[in-house]
Amino acid sequence: MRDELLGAILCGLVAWLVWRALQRRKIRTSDWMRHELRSSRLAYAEQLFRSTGPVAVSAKVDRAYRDQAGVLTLVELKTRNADKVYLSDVIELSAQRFALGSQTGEVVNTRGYVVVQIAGLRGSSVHRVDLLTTGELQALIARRQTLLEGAVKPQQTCRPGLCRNCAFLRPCRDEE
Amino acid sequence: MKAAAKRRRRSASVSASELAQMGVCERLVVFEHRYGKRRLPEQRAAIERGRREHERFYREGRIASAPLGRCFIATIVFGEGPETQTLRAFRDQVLRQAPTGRRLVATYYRVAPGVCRMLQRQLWAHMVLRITLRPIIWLASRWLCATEARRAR
Repeated sequence: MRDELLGAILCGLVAWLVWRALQRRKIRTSDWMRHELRSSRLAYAEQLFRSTGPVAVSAKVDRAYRDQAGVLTLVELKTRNADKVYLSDVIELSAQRFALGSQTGEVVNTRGYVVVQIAGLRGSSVHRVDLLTTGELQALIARRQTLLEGAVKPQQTCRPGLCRNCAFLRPCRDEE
Repeated sequence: MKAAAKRRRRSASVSASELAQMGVCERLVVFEHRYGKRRLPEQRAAIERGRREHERFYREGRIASAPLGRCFIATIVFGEGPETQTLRAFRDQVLRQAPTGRRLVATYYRVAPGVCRMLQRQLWAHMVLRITLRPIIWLASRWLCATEARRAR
């Protein structure tokens, strides 16, 4: 009888702890994991991949989830002051997709996720993005090569806010 | 000579973050190639903050993906019976879905091997644990039923 009473008290304590945990989860609506990823398993975390080819692409994957069909989906974490996704995120995930697919031969989803952790706030939000095709990525690599060789004139960003926080502001102005 | 060779090697490979700079500013890509990376103090602080968040994100990921199928204490006490299955299902379907739950699971996996070693020596403790766990298993099974009913709706 005493054992059962002790069991019931312990059980009540555990139930209260679990209930509190789940209540907290309800408050934290920003829990980023999307429904479509819930059934997937984490396949790679913070792992470096490298593609083959004339210009090798190396990429560190934040997380890659494998679904039941064996398709990998990439997730990239960004710490920002604003809840926004930029073209650079799409390019980075596309490069990861290319490197991962090339090295492992596995199928990687054409859609990825950017988890934005807003500075000073608890929780994060998630954005689904369509990645670049391999052709588009190769074109971007080729464009970068021509820029570095000086064959074409580099374009300035269309986001003036970036220039204010750029360490190359002065040489950039001097070249104009 | 060495610098030229190094530059050739570098130009034959590109990292994802270098490529991502193309989406920020082409001039920045060229300047960084020409002069190396330069960071303002606030950019360095942001990079450091990002590094810390990445470490946390990595740890959280590893906890969430701890191998399925281990439920040490329940397996010792009940064997591979329905009680163990219920606790496993509760862990995977309820606890693993919330950050606090994942931390609880991680804590359990840290503590459980020690408890198991104790259980192997103290057989009387099996009975105590069986009594303690039964109401928990009952609650877990009710919880799982309610979750499934909610999903079905």
